[in-house]
Amino acid sequence: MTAKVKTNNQEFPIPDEWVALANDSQEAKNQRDTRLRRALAGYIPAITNAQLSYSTEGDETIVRVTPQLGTKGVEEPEAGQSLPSFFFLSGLRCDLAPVHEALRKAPPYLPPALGLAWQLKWEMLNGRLTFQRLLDVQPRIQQVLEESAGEGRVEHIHERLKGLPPLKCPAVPIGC
Amino acid sequence: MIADLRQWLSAFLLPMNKSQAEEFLHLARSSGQYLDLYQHYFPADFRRSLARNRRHWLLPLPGNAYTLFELQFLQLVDKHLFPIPEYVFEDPCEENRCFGVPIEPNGLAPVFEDGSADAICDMALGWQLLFYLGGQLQAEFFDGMFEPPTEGIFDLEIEWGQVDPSVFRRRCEERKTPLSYLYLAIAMLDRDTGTVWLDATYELPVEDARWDRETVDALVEQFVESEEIWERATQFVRWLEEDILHHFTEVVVLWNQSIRESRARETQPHR
Repeated sequence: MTAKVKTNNQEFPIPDEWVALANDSQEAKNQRDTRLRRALAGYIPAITNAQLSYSTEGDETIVRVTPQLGTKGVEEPEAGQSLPSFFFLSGLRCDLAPVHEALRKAPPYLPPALGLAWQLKWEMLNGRLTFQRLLDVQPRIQQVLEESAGEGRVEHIHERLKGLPPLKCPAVPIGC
Repeated sequence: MIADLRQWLSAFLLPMNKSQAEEFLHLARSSGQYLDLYQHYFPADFRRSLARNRRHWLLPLPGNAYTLFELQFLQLVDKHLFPIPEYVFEDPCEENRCFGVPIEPNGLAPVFEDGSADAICDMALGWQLLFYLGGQLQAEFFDGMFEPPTEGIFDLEIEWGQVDPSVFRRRCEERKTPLSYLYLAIAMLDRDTGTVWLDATYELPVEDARWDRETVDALVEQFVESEEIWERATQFVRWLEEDILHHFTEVVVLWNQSIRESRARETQPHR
């Protein structure tokens, strides 16, 4: 028996023991897949996230590697590499648990600009925004706009980040 | 029809983020300023309009630059206080709303734009001679324009240097009118009249005039002043053109005298 790996554009032999199964259990199959992925990651970067299917052609065991469409990401870091903990096997993923936790714990807050705008809009739509009311609310509008000028920094940061050119990834993305 | 309906319905959308909320609040503040000034400067018109148009919203609908009240106010300002640029009325779409007072440069503004050579050619001869006096035009510009003995004005020695505005003004005011208005014409050329209407240009427009009572009062005052300056400077230019040989000679004499006095003042030790 010989073993061979086939991808979309290449085909090469691999040692038989890489595809050997200790038994017919699912766990053994998973171990074989993991073994293959690790062994071939240097040759077929996309294998980390690819579908592996096995067939037999004559005496040969054929491993067909079908890359999965997905986001660009990084390879699994080698032991000792100092990649941030939120880098996973495939794709740049951020561990959002602390963010969710912080959001859950944050006290309810409505930006004053939003609250006042809703209030005035509601009054306008209901015909309650009279001339006198509009004059009376002017100091409050002024105050809210002045206060929110500082709060706008986060939005400003978001806008700046969105407008920045892409930077080089700290690790080699899969497929490169 | 559908477009109008969509526009009308969009007025019912609530601001969904802080930016939209702030945009709406800026509009509410601006509309409040317009209405406050309408009531302050034209109280009778304001009361009448408010009574007649009770159903009209006080904030502009999406797509519109102004409400009915704001447009009425702008028309009254244009008629009674100071000119509002035509574009304000011609294209009142949402993005053209003026949150500040729109000020159209008046006076000699076209001369100070890029490619102003044509604008100078189109000016009255008296103004062109003032440009020559100030060194912005050379004598060659006037080649062939004058016969002897008038062309002799280009042989007059013109002093170069800084003129002290207070000295110049005092020397001018000692003369009879309209020569006494020379300093106003020069101030217009220097864009130093102290009025936004004559000093602003399209390249250096006034963009920070707010719609508040203090600013509007100042603008009204400045507009009256600018009209007077413009009128007096025009009188001077006409007088200059009446007898170029003698009148321009008088101008040069006055100018030189002022420069020399300014120079002497500068060199005097400060007490």
